[in-house]
This record gives sequence, structure tokens and C-alpha cells, in this order.
Amino acid sequence: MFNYKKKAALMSALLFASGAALADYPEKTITLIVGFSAGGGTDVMARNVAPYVEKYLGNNASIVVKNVPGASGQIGITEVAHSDPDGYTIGTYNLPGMMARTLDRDSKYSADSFTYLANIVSDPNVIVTSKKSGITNANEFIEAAKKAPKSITVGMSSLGGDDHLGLTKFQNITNTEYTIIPFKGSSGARTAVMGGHVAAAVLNISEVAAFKDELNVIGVARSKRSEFAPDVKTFKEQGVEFYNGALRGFVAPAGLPIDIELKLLEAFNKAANDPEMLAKMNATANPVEASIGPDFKRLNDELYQLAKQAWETTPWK
Amino acid sequence: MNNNNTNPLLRPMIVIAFCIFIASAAFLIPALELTGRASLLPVAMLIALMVLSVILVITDIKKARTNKTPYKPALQSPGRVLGALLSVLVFVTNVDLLGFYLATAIFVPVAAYLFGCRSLKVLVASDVIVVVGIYLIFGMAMVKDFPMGSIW
Amino acid sequence: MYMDLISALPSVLTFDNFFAIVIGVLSGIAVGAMPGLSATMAISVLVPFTFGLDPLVALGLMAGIYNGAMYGGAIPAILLRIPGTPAAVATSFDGYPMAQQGRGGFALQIAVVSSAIGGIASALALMLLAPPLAKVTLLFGPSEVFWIAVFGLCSIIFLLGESPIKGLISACFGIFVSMVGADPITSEDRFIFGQLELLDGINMVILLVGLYAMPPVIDLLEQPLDTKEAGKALKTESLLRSLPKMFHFWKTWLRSSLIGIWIGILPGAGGSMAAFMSYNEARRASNNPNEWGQGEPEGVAAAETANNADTASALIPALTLGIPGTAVAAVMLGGLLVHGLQPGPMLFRDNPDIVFGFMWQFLFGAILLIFLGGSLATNSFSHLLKLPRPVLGSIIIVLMFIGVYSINERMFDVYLMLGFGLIGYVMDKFKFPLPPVVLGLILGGFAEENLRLTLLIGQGQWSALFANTTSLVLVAMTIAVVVGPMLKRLFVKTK
Repeated sequence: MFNYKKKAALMSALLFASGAALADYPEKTITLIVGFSAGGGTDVMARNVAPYVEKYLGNNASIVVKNVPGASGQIGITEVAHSDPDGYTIGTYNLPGMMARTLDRDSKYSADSFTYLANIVSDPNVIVTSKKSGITNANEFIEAAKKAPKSITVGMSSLGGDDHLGLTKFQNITNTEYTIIPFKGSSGARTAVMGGHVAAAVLNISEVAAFKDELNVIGVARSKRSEFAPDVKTFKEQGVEFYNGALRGFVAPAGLPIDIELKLLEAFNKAANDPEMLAKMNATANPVEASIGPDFKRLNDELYQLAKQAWETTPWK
Repeated sequence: MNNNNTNPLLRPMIVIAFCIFIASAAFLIPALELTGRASLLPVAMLIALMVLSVILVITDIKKARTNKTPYKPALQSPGRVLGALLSVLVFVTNVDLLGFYLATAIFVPVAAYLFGCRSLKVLVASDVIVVVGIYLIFGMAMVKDFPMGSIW
Repeated sequence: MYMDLISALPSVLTFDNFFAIVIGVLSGIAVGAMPGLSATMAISVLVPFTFGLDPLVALGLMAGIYNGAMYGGAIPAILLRIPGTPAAVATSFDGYPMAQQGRGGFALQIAVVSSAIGGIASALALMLLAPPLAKVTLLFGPSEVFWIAVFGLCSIIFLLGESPIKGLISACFGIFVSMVGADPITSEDRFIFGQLELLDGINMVILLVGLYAMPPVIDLLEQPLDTKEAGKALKTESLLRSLPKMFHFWKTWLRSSLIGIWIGILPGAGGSMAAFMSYNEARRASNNPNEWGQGEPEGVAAAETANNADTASALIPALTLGIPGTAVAAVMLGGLLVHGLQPGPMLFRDNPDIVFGFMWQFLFGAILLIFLGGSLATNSFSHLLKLPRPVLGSIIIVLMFIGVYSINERMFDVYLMLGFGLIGYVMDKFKFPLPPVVLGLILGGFAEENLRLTLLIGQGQWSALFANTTSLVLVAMTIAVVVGPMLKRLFVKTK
């Protein structure tokens, strides 16, 4: 998992050999661009993590959060992609959304526009059904769709997001077809399923943890059960190899000087394992599952391929 | 259509109706290119606007025939109105160029003077209060950044 | 649960908390009074700062701002015909004519008392009825919400003014503006012409500032005469003495509070729709509907009660279900999230002290409004009108800039506002009514989104719109509201 350390060792050896000293980064304030408004899930994550990154960067580092909301994060991330790669601008990064945008819109960035620092949050998908529907487990959910394809309405937050790609994946794995109902935001979808206006919904575990009694949570798309809802079975336990979720992390523009990149990776890695930070993230319903540097980049490539495949087979607009 | 007093085509309401019609028609082109239900409501609204502007023209011509009162100019002093609109535009473009605080410091007294306030005391006092007040409330208390100006 | 309510009281009654509420109400009034600055913006600016605060202090600030801003919007609406917030549009209908008649001070007093009453009613609803009312929200799926929006749009009929054609043009324009941006279902972009800034749609505040602030500002600069009368007109008797003159509004207060609370718990529409609807209902119920719009005090009372009555009630679905009833409630949810307070049924069980404390703060905020708002409005804001008109005009232009620029910190929005300003000025001069544009923008997108969702859920069948009882009841109500007055007119004519 931490094979960036190998890279670090190699690079510092090289630097040492060439006689260059590590620069005194950071010498000034680092701007952290958050592509959503203050108080949203991504913003809360950014503000919770930032102080610990400051702490482990040392040098009296200070990180200032700048909210650049709009176009589901696209305006903010575009600003990050086009800022100077000097380590003084970093940004939050959401998957699969940011990659899906490169497919379904004209985006002024691509997967190669970034230096991948760390993914911090991994919020697995869950499928919930309304109490009225009578569906309580994955098999019943699949059976119902097999019996009458498209008869089950499935709410979600938007097209091209993790919920949507998750359901596409689920449909491919189980060879089923559902009617997709994209609400504006997951709370709308959750309320509709609670009121029985749609039969089911794809959400994230952090969004349903507080509503477990009002809904049937039929499964979580993760290899292990989530600590947010330990009594909810995984899909794997029910015989469906379905894993998916929303990821939230941090990137910098591509072309970051290697010494700065290593310093940031180290700080993010330490921050991601800080028990105090983990407790804060737990309290704000942010399931932490860190991947640092190259691991994060690999994750990004995987999800990009998945989104691309979904876009090519079933374009959503 | 042969109204003797004024050319009916130059009645302001007809000009406006014409503008609405043309604008709606222009927006209709991208609206019709939208897929499926995405075009449903926009197209409905644009067609409604076109129909309504036609009705507006008809009612206005009818009114002009029955009602012989000479039409009153809508603006008392078009020059000042144009000036006011222009000054807003000049202010905004100057914020872009000179930065917000400088543009405001210049704009408030100059605009007030041009539009009729001649008391130097009021001009200076209002200028200082506005700029300092905005800096204290928005710059300091709310940490808002305003444009710094592109020419610096 | 009522035990929790009482046991939460002591933690609210601390100096820090009260200080936070007072500061919140005062800054809320100031923010609301500035055209373009809204409670949404003020609270979203505040959210990052609350990380380090005690949760109750932070929430007290927010509750205060929310209550204060909803009233603050009435001040410029009454004095200058520039609604400070979208919800104050209906206040200007009768408030501004009152100010012109020299009764601006009385109008402000009505506004502050009515706002406080609406706020108190709403806070009580939140405190006593939150869980059962949340169940009501669940009944409203896409098809029901669509009909609510249609019902709201039909109330446009009463806002059309003298020429129905012009009113309909305004409404269609407003609805069309709501279509700009990403399609609510497919996120396909519509009419953005390559501008990413338009992708999220046109912000209500940009339209409001353009349409409503520009015409009065141009008027201020067009006629350079110093009007000292307007300033004098604000000298009023004390609130204690004018209060008895308002007691006969009790019916309006009651009706408008209920409408406001009701609109608040329905997701999406918010204060402006509450104010419009309660204004209409009060006018329909009054025995002199023709004098409305020319300075009828009851009109101010109706609008202001309703736009404050939706504040706390908008938090009912927000706290219990995580669906914000208004944009402000959405930002407040963010404020809760920052402190690890996850909305949902568990919230009331896990953090009763904070949740119920927050409700108490709403109540105290609404009560404090009378004292703080009353003196502020009559004392400080009257000085504003004594300024020479050109100075006032240029200051408002600067404030318009700040308000619009602050939404997203981009110049694009400012230029967009200028465009709307030009349109607004022309519309105003040629007597196209402006309120239908506002209502069209608010409800148009809302109606479309829910219509499309209904059709998707109903597998493309239009009959899905009539598939359940709640929808049918709403359809019947809409028809009654539209056809009723027509029949009445017909009946009166034939008689």
C-alpha cells in the first residue's frame, strides 16, 4: 500500500547524490481549493484533514480553504488543474465524478492534469428499498428485476455519479435492468424511497447510517462490512461481487517538483493515520480508507476505465 | 395600420414585442436541438412567448386605434437615464481593471457629483464611510476577496 | 420528547448563547437590508468560522441571522422598493406605497411585529410538531410536488397586474430563465453557450438584484431632486403606541403563519412562495381587495408574517429527513454537519440537547427581533433616506456589486446582473410586472424537475401525474383557485 515509500527512498537518494537539499517547502500559505460550498461533505473532509496536513508538513505550514463551488465541482478542479504546480495550490478531488465529467462534458482537464496526493474517504454504495416494497435482500431485489425488467424504480443523486456508475456495474454483474430515476442530490432520492415514491435507491453508507430503521438496507458494496452499519450485509456475503463507492481525496496540478510531492505525500500519509483525525472523520460520517500517491493514481485509472466503459455502452445523455 | 400621427411600427410596445419575438425565435434553435424531454418545457415557454408577443402587438394596435391620446414619452430625461446605465457599466468594468476598492473610491463621489450632489462635504464623507465600511465589514469581518484589478 | 425540550433549555440560557443570538439577529437584519446579500450567503460565510465554536453558539448565530435577514429584507423593500431578499418582494407591493404616503415608519413596525409573530409561530411548530410534520413531507413525492409548484404558479394569475398579456410574458420569461443550466435529469447543458458559470442555473439573487435594484437606482439618478420628505416620513410614534393599531391583523397573522409553516415543510419553494401565497390569500379574504397594492397595511403584515413563518419550519424536513426546505436550510445543514450532527431521525435521540437547544434559539431569535428590529428600523435606517439621491444611488450600485459578486466571487455574475438590470429597467418602464418573473424562476425549475421525475417513475405515462389521492386533491385545489375567481366575476357581472 505504501509503495510510494520506495519511490521516496529512491528520490531522496538521487537528491542526496546530486547534492541538492530539500527546499524549505512550504514557505507561504497553501491554498486548498474545494469545488463545493462550505458545509458539504467534501468541504467538511477538507477542513478536517487540513490541520493535520499542516501539522505534519511542519515549517509552520498553513493551509487556507477556498471554496470554488459550481458545476458539481468542475469549476474548482479546473482551477486546480490550471494553477502553477508549485505546491501552493492543491485541491479536493471526487471520484468517479471528476473523471465522468471528462466524458460527458467538455472539460478543460484530464486524468493527466494532476499529481495524485491522497484519497482519504471511501464511502461505499448501498442499495436501499422502501418498506412498502417488501424487498429485504439482494436476491429478492435481483429476482424482482428478472421477473419484470425495468419494473423497479431506483432513485439516485445524479447521472454520471458514483451511484449511477454503481448501478450500471450492478446491472452488468447480475444481468438485470432497472429504471433509473436521477434526483437532484441524494437526500431527495432518500426521501422518495422513504415515502415509497420510488421502490429503491442507490446511496452511500454515510447517507443512510442515520436512517437504517426507516429503510431496508439490502447490502453494502464493499468487501468488508462497514463500521457505520455493522449489521448490514455486504453484497459479497449475498453472492454478488459488487464493490463501488464515492471517493474523496486531494490532488495537486501535474508537474509538481518531486521534493515537494514527496513532502506532501508524507504529510498526507501521516495525517491519514492520525487517530485524532480519524475520530473527527468518524464523527462527521466520513468513512476513511486512505490510498496515497501512486495507489490513488491507480484507483483513478481504474475508475476512469469503468466510467468510460459505462459511457460508451450506455451514454446517459 | 394607417395610423396618421405616428408610424405604428415605431410605437415602443411594438418594438419590444418584436424584440421578444426575435429573441425567443433565436433561443428556439438551440432548444430544438436538445434531446427528448429536456426540450419539452423550454420549447413550450419559447413558443408561448412568441405567441404572447404577437398578441401584444395586436392589442397594442387596437389600443392605438381606439385611443387617440398622443403617446407620452416613457422617460423624463433619456440623457440622464442613459448616463446612469452607462455609469453602472463604467463602474463594473473599472472594478475589473483598477480593483474594487480603488474603483469604488473613485466612483461614489464622481457619480454623485455628476448626478447632482454638489456638496463637497457630503461627497468626501460618503466616500470615506463607504470604502472604510465595506473594508471593515466585508474585507475584515467576512474575509471576502474582491477583484484586485487586472492592470496592476 | 417534550422532556428533552425542557431539559435543553438551561444550556441555551447562557450569556454566550444569548450574545450569539443578538449578534446574529443584528447582522441578519443588516445583511437582509442590503440588496443582494441574503441569509444564505451570510450563513455560508459563517460556516467555516463555526469549526472552532461551541455548536450551540454557532447554531445560535445562524438562527439569529436567519430570523433577522427575513425581516431585514423588508426595510429596503418598503423604503426604496428594492427587496433586500427574494422573500421580501411581496412586502414591497404595499410597503412602498405606504412609504410614499408618509407611512413608512408604520409599515416597518408592522413588518417587524409580523416577522416576529411568524417566526415565533414557526419556532413553536418546529418545537412541538417536528416528527409528525416530517411524516407529512414523506407523503409528497415528485408528482405531488409538481402540483404544488403548479398551484404556486397559478397564483401568478393574481400578480399579473393590469395587463394579463404582459404578466404572462413576464411569467414565461421567468420560467425560461429557470431552464438555463444543466438539465435537472440528464445534466445535459441548456442555453449555456459554453459558459461553465451558467451550468448550475441562474442564481435567484442575480436576477433579483438586476430586476429589482436597477430600476429604482436609475430613478434615483434620473431625478436629482433631494427628497427630504421621505426621511421625515419615518418619524413615527413608539412601537408601544402603534402596536394596538395592528391587533386587527390577527386573522392575517394566523393565516399567514399557517401558510408559511406549510410552505416551509414542503421541500424546495421557500420564503418567497410563502409570502406570495399568503399575500394572495389575505387579499382574497379582505373586503377591500381593490385597495391592495396601494398601501394596504395588511398586505405588509401578510407577506412579512409568512416569510418568517417558513424559517424554522423549513428545518423540520431538514433536521428529520436531511432535505432542506429552503436554500438557507441547506446551508444550515452544512453548519450542523460541521459539528458532526447528522440529520435524520437519530439526531433527536443522539443529540437532544443541541437539537432542542437550537429550536429554543429560534424562538428567542424571533422574540428578540421585536426589540432589536424595532429600534434599528426606525432609528438607523431612516438616516439612509436623508442622503442626497445621487449619493444613495451610487452607494446602492456599489452594494449591488458586492451582493452579486459575493455569491460565487466571479465577475461573470456581475455582468449577468447588468444584463438583467437592463431588461428589468425596460420591463419596469413599460409596465411589465416583475413578480411573475421571480415566481417563474423559483417554481419553473422546480415544476420541471418533478414533472420529469414523475414521468420517469411512471415509465413515461402522463397519467402518472394523477395516480394518487394527494395529487388529485392538489389538482382540485388548483382548479378551485383558478376557476373560483373567474366564476365569481361572471356571477357578479350577470347579476
